[in-house]
Amino acid sequence: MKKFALIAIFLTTVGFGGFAVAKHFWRGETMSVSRAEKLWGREDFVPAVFRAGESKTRAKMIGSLIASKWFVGKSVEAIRKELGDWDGYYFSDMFPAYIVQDGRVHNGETWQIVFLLDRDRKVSEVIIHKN
Amino acid sequence: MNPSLTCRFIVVLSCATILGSSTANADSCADWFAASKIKLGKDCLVKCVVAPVDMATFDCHNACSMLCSETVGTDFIFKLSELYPGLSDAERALVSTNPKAALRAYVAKGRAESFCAIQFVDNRTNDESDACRHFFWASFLRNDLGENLALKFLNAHEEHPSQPEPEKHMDIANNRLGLVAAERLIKKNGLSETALLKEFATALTQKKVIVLKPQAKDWKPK
Repeated sequence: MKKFALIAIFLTTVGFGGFAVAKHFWRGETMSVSRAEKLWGREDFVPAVFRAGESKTRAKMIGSLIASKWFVGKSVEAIRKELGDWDGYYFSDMFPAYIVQDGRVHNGETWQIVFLLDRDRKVSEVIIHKN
Repeated sequence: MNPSLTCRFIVVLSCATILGSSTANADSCADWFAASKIKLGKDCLVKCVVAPVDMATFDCHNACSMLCSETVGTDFIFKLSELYPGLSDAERALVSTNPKAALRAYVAKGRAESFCAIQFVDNRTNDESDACRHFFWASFLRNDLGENLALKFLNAHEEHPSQPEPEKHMDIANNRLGLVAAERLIKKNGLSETALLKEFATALTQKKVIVLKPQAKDWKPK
């Protein structure tokens, strides 16, 4: 019985470890919302301002954009309508990604927000990703 | 009325409704497929998943592998490919009918992304880095898979209905440049990343590369 429990614990650990590694590989380097707010500040998310704004303006709205879950469940078309054409890139042309820190003026460190999509091409999560 | 009988009645009615609707749906998809005049065979699945649908037939693309009488393996990969993020239906169809080539196309995509990431400060959309990715992916595909299959993968990638037309035209034009450059270099027996980069840089200088949002005016190849 003890042996089975040990095997179960081992498999669970390996499983979770593998999942964590795969998730990191899939997503690349990401940033937490709290760190983003520390770096760039926090302002209310206003789609029109985000759309018209430079990366600096966009960066300040990330915290409230993610916390409000404004875009979760929305389609790619809805994002484009509210935020305009995206300028970032993540994994494929099909993932909406907007630059929030321009690497050309930040020692090559470009950051973007990425709208991850589910099987129905609806937003499942928004992440802050190092381009 | 006896509660257990009521339950049974509801279950039977639900089953009948589900069965009825799926049969009706299967029928309408079969009619839609017949009307599309797509022939069974090699390219059936690829053509089926991009055939126009309407409100009554909007989910028929999911039945394409069955309608095209594809093998169990192809059907399995087609369904499984739904889990892979960002693939168009045309890409899913191509992946399931050409799994080995799809793997090489995936590796070529990674190579093109890595190569262009070194050339530019960051990866963006509609700028020179975007053009670079398409140019190199097309070149690598041409070299790895041959012209026909390369073109199929490149075109399938552009079959996303939500992609704006100008972006689609930019990608297709830059794919073509990459294919032509690779073709030329293969004929001279001189295909290499360095030679391709030279071709890309020349085409960019001569404004043959299509860039909707130029970002890197003073760019030089590394």
